[in-house]
Amino acid sequence: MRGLPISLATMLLVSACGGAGSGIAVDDPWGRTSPMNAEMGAFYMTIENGGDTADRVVAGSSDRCSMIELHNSSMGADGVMSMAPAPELFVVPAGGSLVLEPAGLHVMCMGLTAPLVEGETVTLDLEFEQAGTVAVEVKVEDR
Amino acid sequence: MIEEEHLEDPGPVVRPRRRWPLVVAAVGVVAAIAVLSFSWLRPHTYSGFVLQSPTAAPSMDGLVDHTGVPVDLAAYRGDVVLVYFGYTHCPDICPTTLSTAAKAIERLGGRGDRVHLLMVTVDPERDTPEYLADYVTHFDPGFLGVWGTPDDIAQTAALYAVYYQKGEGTVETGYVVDHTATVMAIDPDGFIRVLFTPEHTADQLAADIQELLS
Repeated sequence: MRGLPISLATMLLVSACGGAGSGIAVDDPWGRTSPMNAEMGAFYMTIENGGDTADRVVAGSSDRCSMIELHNSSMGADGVMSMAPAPELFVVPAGGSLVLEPAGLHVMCMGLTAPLVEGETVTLDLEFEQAGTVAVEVKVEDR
Repeated sequence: MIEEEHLEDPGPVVRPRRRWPLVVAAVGVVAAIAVLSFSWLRPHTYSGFVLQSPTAAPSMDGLVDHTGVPVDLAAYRGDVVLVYFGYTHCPDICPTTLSTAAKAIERLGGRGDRVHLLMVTVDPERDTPEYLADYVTHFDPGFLGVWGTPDDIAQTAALYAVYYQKGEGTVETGYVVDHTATVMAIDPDGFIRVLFTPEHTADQLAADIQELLS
């Protein structure tokens, strides 16, 4: 009941960005600028699922990246950071959201065709199990 | 009869109008103490993890910075040195950490000149000094990358109690290196005093570093 107004608002947003009737909206997608030689970049965002079925990100693609993987950075014992592919963590619950942020979940862009420059926008296509392809405009900025 | 009068004598009395200066003075003192206790009298509370027994920062034998100069920590006496073990093929944690450190130094303004960041690579096989130079200076032109042979890096990391391990990664990413991701702050006397993790913010780093500098 309480989720209804939220999902209605999300659906209005979705019509501008997601697949028709998908219930998926992506908020504040961003990524840092890259050092000249960097071959990889990380994209962060909040994915909201206003629908009534859980969904998950299964893949991504972009003209800017030779390859895209879904990764997670996590801190283990004694402050040791690990990063590994973790597609199983990219689930967005029905009526919920999934946050991709520094030192956590992120979309990893590998084989950058050109360094990411401050102020530009990179198009990233995220493929969802239910919602299909959602085009995301990633803003490059140093935060 | 006279004795009864003495018993009824209330004794010396401070008249009301003489109390005011004392009251004002007392209130003034209490207020001053309250104000002072909220400022310089109260010791700085560190956001980072303060080492119970600060250790003298181990020397980095055999390691060179990306300009080719052997690392000599003694040259930084009087300033604060931030030591971080990372690598350039790391797209999330290392950029985040270096970016936070750069912002913290920026917040210190002129005092930032007395803060030096060294990123020691835990991936000497892929990270050349040139690669390191390009990478670290992207975040701040004053940052220094530190390189060495795998054996020298291993020795220094052990002295700093830093763990690192090549992970699998994927064919596309190449191997990843799991590593202790703390930033260690060495004070102007050459002792490791405070540790920061990826959860600390630039403001927290700046405040703690400022305290170490003073």
